[in-house]
Amino acid sequence: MMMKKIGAWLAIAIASFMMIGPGALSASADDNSLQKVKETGVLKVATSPDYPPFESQTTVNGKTEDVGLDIEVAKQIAKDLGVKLKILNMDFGSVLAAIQTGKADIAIAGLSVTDERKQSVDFSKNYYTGGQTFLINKKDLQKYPTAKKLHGQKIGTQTGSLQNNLAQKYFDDSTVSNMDKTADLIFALENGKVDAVGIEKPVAQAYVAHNKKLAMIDAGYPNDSVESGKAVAAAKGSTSLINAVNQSIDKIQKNHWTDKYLKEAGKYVDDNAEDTSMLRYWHYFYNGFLNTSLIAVLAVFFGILLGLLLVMMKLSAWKVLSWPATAYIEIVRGTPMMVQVLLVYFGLGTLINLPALTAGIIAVALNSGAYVAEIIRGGINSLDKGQTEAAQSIGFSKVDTMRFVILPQAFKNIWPSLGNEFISVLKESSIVSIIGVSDLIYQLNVVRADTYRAVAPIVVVMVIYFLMTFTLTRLLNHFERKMNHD
Amino acid sequence: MTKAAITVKNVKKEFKGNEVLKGITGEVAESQVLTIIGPSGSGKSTLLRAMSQLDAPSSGTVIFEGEDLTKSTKKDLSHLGEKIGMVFQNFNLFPNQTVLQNVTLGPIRVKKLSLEQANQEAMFYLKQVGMADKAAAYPNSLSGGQKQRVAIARALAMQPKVLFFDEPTSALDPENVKEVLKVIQKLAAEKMTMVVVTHEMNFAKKISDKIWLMDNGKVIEEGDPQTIFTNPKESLTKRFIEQVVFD
Repeated sequence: MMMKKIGAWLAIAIASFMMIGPGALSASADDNSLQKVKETGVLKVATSPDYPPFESQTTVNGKTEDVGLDIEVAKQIAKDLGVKLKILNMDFGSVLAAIQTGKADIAIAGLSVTDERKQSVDFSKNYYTGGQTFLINKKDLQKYPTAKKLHGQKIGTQTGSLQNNLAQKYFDDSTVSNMDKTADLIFALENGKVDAVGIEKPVAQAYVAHNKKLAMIDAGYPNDSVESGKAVAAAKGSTSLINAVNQSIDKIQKNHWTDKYLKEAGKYVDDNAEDTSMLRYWHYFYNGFLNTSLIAVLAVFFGILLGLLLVMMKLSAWKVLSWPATAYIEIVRGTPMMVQVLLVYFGLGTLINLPALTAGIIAVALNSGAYVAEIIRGGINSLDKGQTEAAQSIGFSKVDTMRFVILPQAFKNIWPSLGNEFISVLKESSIVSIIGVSDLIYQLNVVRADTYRAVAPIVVVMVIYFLMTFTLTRLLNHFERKMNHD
Repeated sequence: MTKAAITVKNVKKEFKGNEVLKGITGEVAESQVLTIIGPSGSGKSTLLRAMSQLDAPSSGTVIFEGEDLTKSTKKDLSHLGEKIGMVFQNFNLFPNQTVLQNVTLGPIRVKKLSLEQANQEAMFYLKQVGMADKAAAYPNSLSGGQKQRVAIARALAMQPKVLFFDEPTSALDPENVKEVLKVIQKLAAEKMTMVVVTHEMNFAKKISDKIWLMDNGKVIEEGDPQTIFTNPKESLTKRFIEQVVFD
């Protein structure tokens, strides 16, 4: 009994080590960052397209295009290097991880240079220096004519942002709260949940231009403290690549191209914000719907295959098979899917280059497999032992017994649970948006950033999710009834 | 002297330190019927399952066709299914298959018969047990007696050398018992080698060539029905017979 326990723990430890292993190996040795880009002929740039005018997405002739100041800077860098440009869209929180793990060569995502970030990545020169401002409701302009009046008030900032650090430092008598998305912060401001939103000047300008209820005031931070420059980030030790990027930035600044870029970006923002009807964005939602469906269907399909394999391993009399299966199921069920998605994309990504969508499908399938395995095991255990004995008594092998007697009955019993798993995979696959898979949630954030509308896109996506799960439930019930007629 | 179909030597079975079979020795002759009777918990079903290798004994030997089954590999044992048939108390029909499929599954998968031939043979055995008209039905629509008759046809379809019955009528409503016993009786008349665990004393008396009376993990008396029921040597046997006959 004791030995069995120790063995199980050992298996878990080994499995955990194997999961951590690849990441630990990725420490950089020699600087071949520039050489690598030139050899592959592609500059991979990580960004998060929900931050206009720095980066956002727009539709040109029915095709989705990345636009904004950062995208123009990226284009110039790629041009100067003589390589092709590949934009990798992801959640802002994943952008730095993408360069650290080699998913992307550089990150250009309206990144401010901070001391904390400097410890984990290298930065280029600033390609843009804006100012810090607060957005407030226009009707409060008399109440808060300057930022000084905001002391003791409620201030909202984006999670993990420079604005958050600054607000906490200089408004330590105020309540500073965080949200992930700028669109959410604006909505909180409009609803009086916060009195001001700490935000970058160009972003604030865009909001003020499109939302008549908002006004902008200068943040008034002491000049020397504001590291509000925007720079390009690369993995630690990428000196050669950073040098090349700096040359491009010198060129951009000498020619004052930044203003041109911003003007250009502003035009897209205007276009997007002019007609903010959700109908205009139907193909964003449609693409999200397609990707979410694809992820769910493939993840469930491979999840069932994996679940079958795991359950056979777990029920095996051989401990070499049953222990790894048990350890796998315990680990997957005992950790958040979000962590697993990040691990597959960034961890596995250090070994093989996986596109975000593939990584997302793999991660969700790996997760679902563990749950399906337990569902199938429950279905098998609920069967009478006599069924196995009867099969044995007519000379069935173990495989035939499983295939013709046990599994058909088990699957019939677990059909409702499998259906529930399918529906929960459909909903929970939304987590893959953090690595930039353009599923429904991801598209939701893109549309919110583009239209400056906080609620309408959420309602649209909610309706789409509901229609999907509702249809699926009907379908599953139909098949369940059909099976019960037998 | 008739040839032995199955011979057991000093068969013991332990469950978690509890000795349920305490050394059973004996044999079943070919074309004969052995009935095992005795009070509940005496080890009848355990012995039957040990003989059929459904639950291998803890020690001792079971010899079938000159081979010691307790030393056979798993693969050999699965071939045994072809030669040793089993009928269970709870029928254990496959609920997801029709009556016909229940009978043909073994012949098709194990004996590799063609579907046509398997169907043909299955219908023959279903006729034998009087269930041919229910071939297309699913088990859940049948009565207990009907289910048990299908289970017998399923075992027969494998053309076994020996057929084991583990309390085949215990789970049946009284009005269904007769139809099942009749089928077993018919098989006995056709000289099928059978080992039957039962509580039906009149039936045991009628069909058995030999009876084992078990108590507390041991065979305490072996004999022909006449001796066991009318002139037992052991006082325990006498008490048991008196009890069940007059209860």
